[in-house]
Amino acid sequence: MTETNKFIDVRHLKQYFPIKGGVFQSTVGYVKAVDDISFTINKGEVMGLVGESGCGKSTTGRTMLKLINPTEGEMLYEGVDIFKLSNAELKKYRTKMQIVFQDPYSSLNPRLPIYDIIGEAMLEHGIVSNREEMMQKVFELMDKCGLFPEQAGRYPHQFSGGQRQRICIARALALNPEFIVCDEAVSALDVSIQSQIINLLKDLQESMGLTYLFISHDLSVVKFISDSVAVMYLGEIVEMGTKEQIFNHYLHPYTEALLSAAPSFDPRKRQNSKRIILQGDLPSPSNPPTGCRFHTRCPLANEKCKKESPKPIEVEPGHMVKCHCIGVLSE
Amino acid sequence: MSEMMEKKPLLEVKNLKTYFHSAGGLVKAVDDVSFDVYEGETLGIVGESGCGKSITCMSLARLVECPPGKYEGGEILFDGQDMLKISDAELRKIRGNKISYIFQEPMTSLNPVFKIGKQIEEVLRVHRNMSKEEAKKEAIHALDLVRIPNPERIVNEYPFALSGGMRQRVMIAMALACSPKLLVADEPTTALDVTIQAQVLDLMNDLKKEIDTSILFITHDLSVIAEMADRVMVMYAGKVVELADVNTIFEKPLHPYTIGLISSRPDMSTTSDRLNVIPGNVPDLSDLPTGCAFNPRCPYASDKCREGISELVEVEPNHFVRCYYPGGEKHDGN
Repeated sequence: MTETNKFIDVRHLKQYFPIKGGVFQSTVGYVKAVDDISFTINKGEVMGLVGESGCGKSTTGRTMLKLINPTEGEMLYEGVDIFKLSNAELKKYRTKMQIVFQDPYSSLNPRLPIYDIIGEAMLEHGIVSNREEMMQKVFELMDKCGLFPEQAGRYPHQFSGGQRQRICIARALALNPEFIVCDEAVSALDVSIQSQIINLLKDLQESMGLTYLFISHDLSVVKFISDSVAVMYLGEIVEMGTKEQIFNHYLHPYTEALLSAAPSFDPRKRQNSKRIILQGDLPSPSNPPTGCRFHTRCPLANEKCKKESPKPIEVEPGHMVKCHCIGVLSE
Repeated sequence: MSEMMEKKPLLEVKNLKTYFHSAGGLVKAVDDVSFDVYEGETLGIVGESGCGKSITCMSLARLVECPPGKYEGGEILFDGQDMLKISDAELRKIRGNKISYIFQEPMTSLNPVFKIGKQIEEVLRVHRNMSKEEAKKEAIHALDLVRIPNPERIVNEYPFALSGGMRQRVMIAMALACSPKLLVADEPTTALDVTIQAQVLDLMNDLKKEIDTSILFITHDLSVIAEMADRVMVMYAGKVVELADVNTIFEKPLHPYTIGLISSRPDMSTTSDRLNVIPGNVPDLSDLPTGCAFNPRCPYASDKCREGISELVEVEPNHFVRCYYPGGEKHDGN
């Protein structure tokens, strides 16, 4: 892979949140929400980021866009480290990177009509010069996202959940971005609406050549939309590779457990399927287990796993695994 | 199937109507719903938000707040009694004892200021007239049954000290404490992570075998239904649109809505490029289209569908569908 191919290149990203305590509210510890993760996304591809709640997947997305200031690490956007930019320089990059959140109810300003929600940023960033031009652009975007342009004067509460998510997508597209973080963008929607939005995201990605970081806990959705997948556990990426590598040739016991835990769609399978049930809960990221973070729930854990944190190993080009027991699963 | 026919229904719901008189007009949340739950079976109810699945289940033990809700008609025969006719005192003997509930969000269903043990003991002391000591012993046993480690310690904990999965186990322990005949589980795993969801579903399947209770399992997640249910009831806009055993629903769905739901969901084995889609939006119950509520989204809708709605018809043995064109069969005219 050549250097130029890497459209998004995240290197050793860390995001620690201080825990305040004591009389003087001094820092007594850190929640290591994201702890030293690195990955790249090629232009025009979709990377899925999966994991359980609290594993740091949303924090990763937000930190990459510098919505939260990172603790450490680099985020190279076409070779430029956006964490090092001044605010004025960053503003230029803001137009290229957008985010769609999970909850379309709380991410739209209830007091603004739809045309302002979608168009506001275009005026601010000088993409359109006046309001007429803005309205023209808003109508185009609404049409593209499956909304009726004649509804542009309405307010968010007049729309259903699926339509609101379409508004959020139209807003994200307004600045002609190249990279969009979809943070559980379909999780809050009804089943029949979910598929509409997934198709919309996929169509837009293909027609506009967008690059997505698709954050989700739903493996079947991730499998459908992604080109590559990273599996997170307690702030670390434990396995990463192409869709094929992760879903068919997984090597990490956590990936195996996640895939096995997802309920099957075929009622006839349940009698003969052997499901791996992980014991226990996700440990707290403020006090992660020593050694391999997964060892408290891992069926393969041995003494080494308890003491030593595994190093990421590239078993195949593009397939990274962080585990002491690589190869045990396939046996 | 034949085995199921011999079993007698534990619960018979006939033409249940639960309406809400709201400021925005009359909302028919549950409109003429009939179904049976047999002994020892799991009936899954699936549908999207606002389809009336939760209100149907809350109606069973008269949990719907009245007003604004009102039971406008129908019968709920449970254990020989009509739940809609019995007195409040009789109802209290049934709630939590013969019918018990597990809800979606375990944190809001547990009282934050009482210890776990006390909350389980309360059920036992009210319904089983146990002494304090007996109830405590039984509570520890109940927690042990749902595979909670160190139940002796957990009875003295408060709900905030437990994780989501553990809280849901406590809810299950509480619901099962009196060995109910019917357990109503309303989206019990929706708020949980996949690995925890797998634990809880596995536990529920084990317990069902151990204590022989019927389960009414409500969810919007078809894959959870595939995992849990023996029979499935699909609801849309307050009405039952399809009812059949689980294999039939997934392999040979006949209502256009069920067909759409099942094919629109990406499966782990989906290979196609695009998902099938049900066009349009979930309807607003206070402003339903005339005729069949699904007609604006249905590819097979004709004028007949816009004017009236079909009865729930048994098209094959034990396979009920409410549609003029089951399976999208060809029809004349428009």
